[in-house]
Amino acid sequence: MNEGMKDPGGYIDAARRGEEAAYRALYERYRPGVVRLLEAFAALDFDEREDIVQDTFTRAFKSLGSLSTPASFEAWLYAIARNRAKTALSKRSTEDRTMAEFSTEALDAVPPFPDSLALEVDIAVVRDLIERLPEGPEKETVRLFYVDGQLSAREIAEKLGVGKSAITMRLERVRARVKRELTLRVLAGKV
Amino acid sequence: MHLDEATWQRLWSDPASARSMLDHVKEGCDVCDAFIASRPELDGEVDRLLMGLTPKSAPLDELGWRRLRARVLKAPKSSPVAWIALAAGLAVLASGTLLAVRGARQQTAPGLKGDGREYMPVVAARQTESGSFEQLPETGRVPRGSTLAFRVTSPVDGPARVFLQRGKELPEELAQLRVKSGSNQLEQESGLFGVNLEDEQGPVTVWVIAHDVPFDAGQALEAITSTSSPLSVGRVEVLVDP
Repeated sequence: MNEGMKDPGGYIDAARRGEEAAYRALYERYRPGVVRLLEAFAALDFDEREDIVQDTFTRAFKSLGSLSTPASFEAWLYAIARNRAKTALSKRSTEDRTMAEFSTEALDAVPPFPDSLALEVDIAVVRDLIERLPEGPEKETVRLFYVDGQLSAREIAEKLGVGKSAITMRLERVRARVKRELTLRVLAGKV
Repeated sequence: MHLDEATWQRLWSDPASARSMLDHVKEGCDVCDAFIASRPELDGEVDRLLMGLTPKSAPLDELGWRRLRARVLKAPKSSPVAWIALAAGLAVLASGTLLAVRGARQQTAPGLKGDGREYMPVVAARQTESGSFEQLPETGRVPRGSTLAFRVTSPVDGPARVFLQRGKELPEELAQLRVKSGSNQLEQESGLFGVNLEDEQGPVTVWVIAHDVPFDAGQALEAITSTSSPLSVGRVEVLVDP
């Protein structure tokens, strides 16, 4: 039904009209990506991930009206998932209850996604960026997680014999590189 | 000069006006790199690109979809109810028979321990060909065609729903019963409640969900998978021999 759903706009319009099949198609198409994204959070266990998947789609579907650019649905959904994961982890922390509650409140909102952030960067740009990484643990981790796409951060930590947090940090460093590349492209007027 | 909030905002509203920062950021600046990394606006787009590298093929998570549908749309229709009565004569069995199997096969579902749900111990006994009941083996293996009866230690007085789950399939609702607070066997109007495994094979889980007020099948399914449901949840796992 949803093979080749390059632009989910039609499904989003249908979902806004309350068509169940459209909701189902969006869930079917994007759930694997959300699960994969959450598998980068090594501190989350299976049950926590599943709860966050549910929360993510619930919030997204209930907030479809606020999504101004349907083509941005996937990025918007991932932003919600990331926020929910951070919220779950901050709730778990008891080091500074006040700060945790504050940050939870801030993160609970569905993130705004301005039209201007509907970037059109080809995935090849990211693939090239990863290829240019020097050979080493970081590149190996990225390859295992994003390119091979089979192991979770926890499983990669076990395979490589390092701590879970090390894997999460390596993946975060690569995300920072991609984010920097995007910013440079915006600055250069390439998007 | 480094990237700051004002420059960042201009970047999205009027990129040309912020272009003077291009060379500076391109050369590599730890302060600007840290600022960019801290900004959440690009998180979703970064993840979209990275996820584009990842092979994703997964069958529809039917149970997850049902939970979501119950939350976002309407409550799902109840699964067809399938009462499976025990063989004649079973209903006259005294509860003492089942007491003898207490602790025989009591399992704690992954995710139940230590989460927000109230765990409800459930034990099962298997009816033999002679009509008597026996303890389940530690392996949980039972012959095909077995009939199971159940005893729960319920924390509540109220309605209960029983589901049967084959492997990882969507749980199917079998019955709506009532339980009393404390230890009691699952009963229907005509006597003991039983699950017949005549048509089953492989791993089977029987879930018992209870609460002190009425709840629907969607809430029961959510209780099976969620760690935050207020409903009481218990289960028994068996492996049905072919």
